[in-house]
Amino acid sequence: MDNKHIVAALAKRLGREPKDISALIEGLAATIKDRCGNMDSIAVPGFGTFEPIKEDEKITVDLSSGKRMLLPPQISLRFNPSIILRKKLNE
Amino acid sequence: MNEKITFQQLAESLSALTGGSQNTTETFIKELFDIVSEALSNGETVRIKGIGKFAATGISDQPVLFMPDDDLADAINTPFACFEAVVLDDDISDELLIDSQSEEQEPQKSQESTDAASAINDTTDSDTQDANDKIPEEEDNSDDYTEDQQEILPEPELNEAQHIDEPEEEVTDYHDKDTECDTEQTATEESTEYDEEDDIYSEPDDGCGSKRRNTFLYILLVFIGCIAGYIIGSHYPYQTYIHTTQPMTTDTTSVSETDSVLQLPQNDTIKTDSAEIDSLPPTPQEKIIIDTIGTTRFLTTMSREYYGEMIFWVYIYEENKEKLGNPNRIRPGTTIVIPPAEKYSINKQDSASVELAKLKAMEIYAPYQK
Repeated sequence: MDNKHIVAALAKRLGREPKDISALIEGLAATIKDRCGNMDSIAVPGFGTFEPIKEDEKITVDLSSGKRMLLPPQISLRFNPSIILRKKLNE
Repeated sequence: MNEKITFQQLAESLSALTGGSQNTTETFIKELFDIVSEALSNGETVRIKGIGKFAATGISDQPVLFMPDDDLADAINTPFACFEAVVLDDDISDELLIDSQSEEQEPQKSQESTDAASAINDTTDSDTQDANDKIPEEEDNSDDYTEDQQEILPEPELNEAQHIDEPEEEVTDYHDKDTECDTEQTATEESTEYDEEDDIYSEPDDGCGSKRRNTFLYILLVFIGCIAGYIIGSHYPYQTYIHTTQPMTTDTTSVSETDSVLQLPQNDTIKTDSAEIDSLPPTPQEKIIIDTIGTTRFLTTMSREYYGEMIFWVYIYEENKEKLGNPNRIRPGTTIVIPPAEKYSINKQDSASVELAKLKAMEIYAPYQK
């Protein structure tokens, strides 16, 4: 399911124009970007939590060349599914 | 920072951003993630523009795989965006990296504080012992020094003027004075050291008043020491001049020239030299002073210094006639010999001597006044 399908399904459910839904999705993405950029985590009940996590620098070995690489530290956005979602997916 | 944003707060932020009501945004967010949940439960992969891709893995421990959108991932990783992956050289071993990490962590250890505290105690103890040991050592050294001064003539060094064939008595007197001055200085130094020790020991016992008093005393002693040093340093050459009835010179180059003649060797060779000095009759006529012409030091100034009158420059000129040439064009840096006053019967009290010098000046100027 890509973005177009989601917009269409939401427009149908909410009875609104797809443009409005696209604008809301863009706004939601901007909000997540802003909040998670400040290292805040966002909890959506029944779905899960978006959480930025800082990873330290690490050394990995490139299997093809055998050379070691020093990877810099980074902040990545992780998603932890809620218990309800986990149960729904494991059924 | 590190806050947990609730559903309501998210809806508020979104409504503030889009301009819609909070109920609308709440409904929107709820419906959006319901659709995503349903799609994931059906095993589908969902991609939301600007947020990322959700995929069902089928693994119970990690049922959903989330891949954030590139823009979102870059925005979140902004603080470390400047770093790039680096290929490590073969020279860099894991042990080296671990050592560097452990070195960085070492300063945080609390053990150092206890070590430092024990070290402070040790140093205070050792300081007190050292201070107690130091006093007798210094006294011994000063005693030895004075004895050496009395027994052996020290080599004349750092003197501004040098005298050739100076009688031994005068030399010894000269150095006796030197030893006196030195012992005075050592005495003042010792007294300041005692006071320093008093400061150290009295600090824990006494209050603020005694600390201030000791500090004041210390400053006073330092000040007195400075004044004494200045007086000794400024008046010492003149004392020597008075004692030896000979003027001092300020030339450093002449010192190096006469060093080879004057330098009295120490210890084993002292006897032979003193015997030679004794064998020579201490005739004052043989005293020679060497001086240097400067930009502010002329024959007249030297004459006033050595003979008391400027007019007697003529005899200095006469003594160095070959070197000097035109008396009005003497080059600075020229080394000259100051003849003793007795050689030319110089006497500033005697008007005949002064008149003779004036005539001599006319004679000297005569060839250059053409």
